[in-house]
Amino acid sequence: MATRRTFVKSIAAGSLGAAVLTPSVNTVLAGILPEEKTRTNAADLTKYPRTEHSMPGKFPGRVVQVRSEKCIADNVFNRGEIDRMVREGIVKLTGEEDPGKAWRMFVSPSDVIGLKVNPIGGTLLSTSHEIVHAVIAQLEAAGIPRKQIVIWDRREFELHEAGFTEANFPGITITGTERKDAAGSFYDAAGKLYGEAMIDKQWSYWADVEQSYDAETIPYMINEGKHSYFSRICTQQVDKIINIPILKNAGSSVTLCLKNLAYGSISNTGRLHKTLWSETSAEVCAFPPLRDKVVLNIVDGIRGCYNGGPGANPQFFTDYKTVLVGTDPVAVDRIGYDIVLKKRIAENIQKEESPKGKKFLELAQALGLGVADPAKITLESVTV
Amino acid sequence: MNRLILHAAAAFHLCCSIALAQSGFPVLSDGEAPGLHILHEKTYDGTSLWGYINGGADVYLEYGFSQLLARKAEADGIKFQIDLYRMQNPASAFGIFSISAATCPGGDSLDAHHCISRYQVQAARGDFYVSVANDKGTPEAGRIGMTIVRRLLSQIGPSDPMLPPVFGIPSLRALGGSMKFMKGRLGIENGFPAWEGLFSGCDTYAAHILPVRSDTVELSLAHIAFGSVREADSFSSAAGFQNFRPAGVQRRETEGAIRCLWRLSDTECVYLEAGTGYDRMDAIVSAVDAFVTR
Repeated sequence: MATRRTFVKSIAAGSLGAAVLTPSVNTVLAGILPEEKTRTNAADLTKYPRTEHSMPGKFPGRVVQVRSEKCIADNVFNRGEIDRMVREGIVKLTGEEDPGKAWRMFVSPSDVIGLKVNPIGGTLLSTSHEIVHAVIAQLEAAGIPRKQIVIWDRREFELHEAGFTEANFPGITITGTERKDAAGSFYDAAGKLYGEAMIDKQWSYWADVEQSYDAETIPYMINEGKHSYFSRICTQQVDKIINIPILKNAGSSVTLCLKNLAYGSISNTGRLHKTLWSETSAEVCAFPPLRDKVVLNIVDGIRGCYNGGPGANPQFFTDYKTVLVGTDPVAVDRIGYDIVLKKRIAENIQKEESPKGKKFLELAQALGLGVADPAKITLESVTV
Repeated sequence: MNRLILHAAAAFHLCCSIALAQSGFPVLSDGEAPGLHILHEKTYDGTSLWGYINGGADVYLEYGFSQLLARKAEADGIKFQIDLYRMQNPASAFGIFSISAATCPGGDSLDAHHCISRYQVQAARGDFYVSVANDKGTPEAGRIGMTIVRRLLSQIGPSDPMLPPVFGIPSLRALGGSMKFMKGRLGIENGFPAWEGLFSGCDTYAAHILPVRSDTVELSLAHIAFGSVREADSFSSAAGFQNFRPAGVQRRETEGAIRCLWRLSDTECVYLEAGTGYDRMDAIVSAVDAFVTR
């Protein structure tokens, strides 16, 4: 049953200029019915009792912002300095002076730990190798075996293109939900998408909106219909998740912790971007495979962007020289949102906050995933 | 000798035209910029653009996307991402360009619609939006990027979108500013978020917006074609006007802003929003008034 009907009528190629110049041509432009709330299965979330690991984790409403002027210069990321920033962030967040003990508040040597990165900007603007190396080195120093660390995202080939390879991260498992074989094919010998074996149909985000995909598109979506299935990487392969998104905008909002997790963990996302962006970003994170496994969020704000996101448009890159650390993804996102908004206003991209910009934060707070109200967030700033 | 050169040049352009006609895209080969080596190229059709830029694809789809040719290349250790988006028409190509390029330092002239920054050269010509990004941000990377873009643009016939005549008013032309073309919810959200609220009830509009900012003036003038009467009403209501119906100009002044709306038809208007205190404001309003009522 459709509760929202969207009618999309295209303007014939070449007619747009004429449409603008000749009012009568405007009749080819379509009308649209008033927007209604689209139904999702978020109501089912009450079926899943919270655990001690559930978001917002050990430190609700608490965010540490670490800044360093030396973390990047002349387009070169300073690995040692970034390592220091991450360490300072963890120590400050936990109040534990021994970094090893601080890390072990979140993970143990028996855990398989997934590092959820964002490689979509390729070599131009992806989670930096330096921050991922820092996290791995500190986990190892805390006693986590290297073989139990997994770098993952939705598309395995994008990870490779962004340099997350065995050569650069020896001994670390690098995996994605959507994948190709060595010959570049998305399909196995039986004609089945490799990605199909990577989705877990026990866990689904249902929303009353659907989209058909052509043959070129389906390998990137895995399935059509009203279900988006969770990746087995987060439902089965990893025990804990450390989320490492980039500090960047998505239109007048941001794509940080929640968006990186939500859209990176499910199939069939094409239908969800346009009308359910905020709902998806919040609600998908409220399902146990994410809600109960994400123990830490480390936002890579060494280099980010303030416009052109979520794509990578270098004109709008900026060196924020910042790392944000927290267990509460909503609070971390709220602080990141303010940083990006401030930059957008300073750069005359927008004059004031967009009413829709933080809708996803409010939804996430309502789902109990964390604190969106800045008055209730404790922000600790550290300069190294 | 000169004739020989002319024949060679003509043959070259013919080859380019044939290649463009065959693939639908301008050609680019190894060595066409100093040290250039094409490493990889892939095309994306329609919604498969989601496979390239995920949610970033939606705004392209909304504007009317046909095909992308994405190339990775290298020259002297500098990596280049060369993206050629073929849109459904010049207006769509210009629209995507106008929201992808904001404050541009400028530089060497390439084309009517171009934007040059340290890490990226962008341009719109004909049905194409071109983006050439580099990973070094050095002057050399910039020079090679410019060479690549010139090579690509030289194969695309000039076919710029027509602008609504209101922007031809001499006193407006003198203001300068950088034209934007908006379509759909994501268009306004990405390209002109200051007006997101005004367009919150509109999905099927097409708007040319000329924002002008200087020490003495801050105004935005728009020509908007709505997809329906309902959308036109929604817009005028959001702008604080009773309705869209009255002919001629409606004007209101609140909270340090002046807003004027000229109804051109049931679904078309000119809209002006400006800060108060600009001493040429009345002249601008009179000029638009005269244009609309002529």
